[in-house]
Amino acid sequence: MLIYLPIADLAINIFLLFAMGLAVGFISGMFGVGGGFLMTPFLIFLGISPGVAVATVASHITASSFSGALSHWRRRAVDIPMAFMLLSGGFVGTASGVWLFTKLRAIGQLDLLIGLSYLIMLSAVGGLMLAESVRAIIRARRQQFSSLRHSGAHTWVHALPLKMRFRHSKIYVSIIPVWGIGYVIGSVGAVMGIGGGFLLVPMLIYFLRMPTATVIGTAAVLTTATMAVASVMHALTNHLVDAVLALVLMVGGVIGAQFGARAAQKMPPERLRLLLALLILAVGIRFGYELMSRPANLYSIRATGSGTVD
Amino acid sequence: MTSLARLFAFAAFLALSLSARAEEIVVTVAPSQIAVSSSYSGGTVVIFGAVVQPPTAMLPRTYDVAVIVMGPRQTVVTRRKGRIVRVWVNQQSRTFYNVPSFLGVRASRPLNEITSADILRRQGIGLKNVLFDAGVTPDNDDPFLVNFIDIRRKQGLFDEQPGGVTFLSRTAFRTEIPLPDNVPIGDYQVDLKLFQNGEMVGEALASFAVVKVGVEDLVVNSATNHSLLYGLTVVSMAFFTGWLASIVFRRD
Repeated sequence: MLIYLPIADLAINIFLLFAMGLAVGFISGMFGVGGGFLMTPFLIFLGISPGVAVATVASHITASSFSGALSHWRRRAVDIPMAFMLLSGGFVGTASGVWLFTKLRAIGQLDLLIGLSYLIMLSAVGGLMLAESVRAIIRARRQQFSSLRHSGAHTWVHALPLKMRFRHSKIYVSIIPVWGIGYVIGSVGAVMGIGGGFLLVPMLIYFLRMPTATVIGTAAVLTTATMAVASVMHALTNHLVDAVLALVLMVGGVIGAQFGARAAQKMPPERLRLLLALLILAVGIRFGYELMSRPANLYSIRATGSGTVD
Repeated sequence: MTSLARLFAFAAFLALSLSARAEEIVVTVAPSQIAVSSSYSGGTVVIFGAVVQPPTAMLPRTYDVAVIVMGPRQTVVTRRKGRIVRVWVNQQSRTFYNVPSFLGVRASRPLNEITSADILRRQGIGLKNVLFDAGVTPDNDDPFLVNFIDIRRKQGLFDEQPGGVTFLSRTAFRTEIPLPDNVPIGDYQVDLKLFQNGEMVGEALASFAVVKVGVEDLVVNSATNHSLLYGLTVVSMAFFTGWLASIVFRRD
């Protein structure tokens, strides 16, 4: 059954969209990420323009991360002051990301920016995660303790001023890197159409030494807020959020996420991280291939005046 | 139903105008409005026309017809990718102003058999001639123009078919124009030109509209005109869906 998407201006099979929502939702629930890094490329592949895809996925991620955030909230796994501090950086980041998005769209380099950001972010994060999880698996084989967090270890991050105590996470850290992380996630998310969960979680663990107990819940709260703001900003500046597409994806996404979360409980965490790393790397390599291989058509067109169809 | 009623009206009009002067053309488009709703996945407009001959005309006349359908005009940027280091990047671009967003050309015979290239150009018949009419320089080798037309063709938005017009009788004819699912919204102009022995002997204009209706209209209208409210609505929808899922699938 075809459904006409009013902003994307094309008809797509509703069951295909719903199934995509389910599948990406399953993965996002399994790994505790928003799944935007999969959904946005999927939509672009279906023929939806990158602009509409990025803007619409922002609202899709709002739904799935809010559902996750609520579950973590009930388990008291959210560090509220930390979430607020990250958010204050995140909002500024989102605003600058949407601004950059609008500017680049006007000069025809948006697709390049999206492609390059995906390539760099996904290969870097995927590569690091892969190396880390392989080491963790080897350590586990050797019957050693695998610990991501060395509570006593201090890095340059801890030498920064403006320190603040986060009681829930039991850390005492400068708010400069906290704002910085929020800003990076906000801007990258707005440009790439991702929640940035897969970037945020490792950053919070490695830079701030946040304990795993609070990191996922706090990340979900931050993702919900930045993506909600990104949705509104994309709607305001570019008019590219497709409500019909968003709704179909959301419903599929939140259902899939619940099953994904259950599947994740049956798997050792380092193996989960390995799978996620491979998935992220695969998407990154695919973007790299796209950017570097000769396009089937060197020419592309975009209508700018009235009666817009692209 | 409406198209049938239109046909009857058309037939009545035809009978009444039989006394009119030579080479007058009557034309009707059905339907006069294409509604784009959530189930829209493409449509068709049918164009009927007839030449009204004076009753004194004894000699049998043979006609040729060219039909040009144009969608709302827009400005289009065509960009060309080039290689920087190892990455393909948009580099040169050319902008075409005021070109039709949809363009359908139909004729009773191949265009160059109907009349001379000069008349075709002056009358704006054929894809490139319409674009020329729109102020685009008629450089056949301009790769930006060639590729712009090529992409629009692949999208089903530019479509030229000589032979697409069929004569139902010596003077009455019909043609069909398929509209793809990505059809631009707006007013469409139908321009019908009549030829005889290479000379243009008559012309008629008609129009139809492509409109978004129902939910589609509401979504587009609110997204453009009430964008803040629209954005907030989408976000509340997201929060509601997320909340509902966390309640329905609650495990603790």
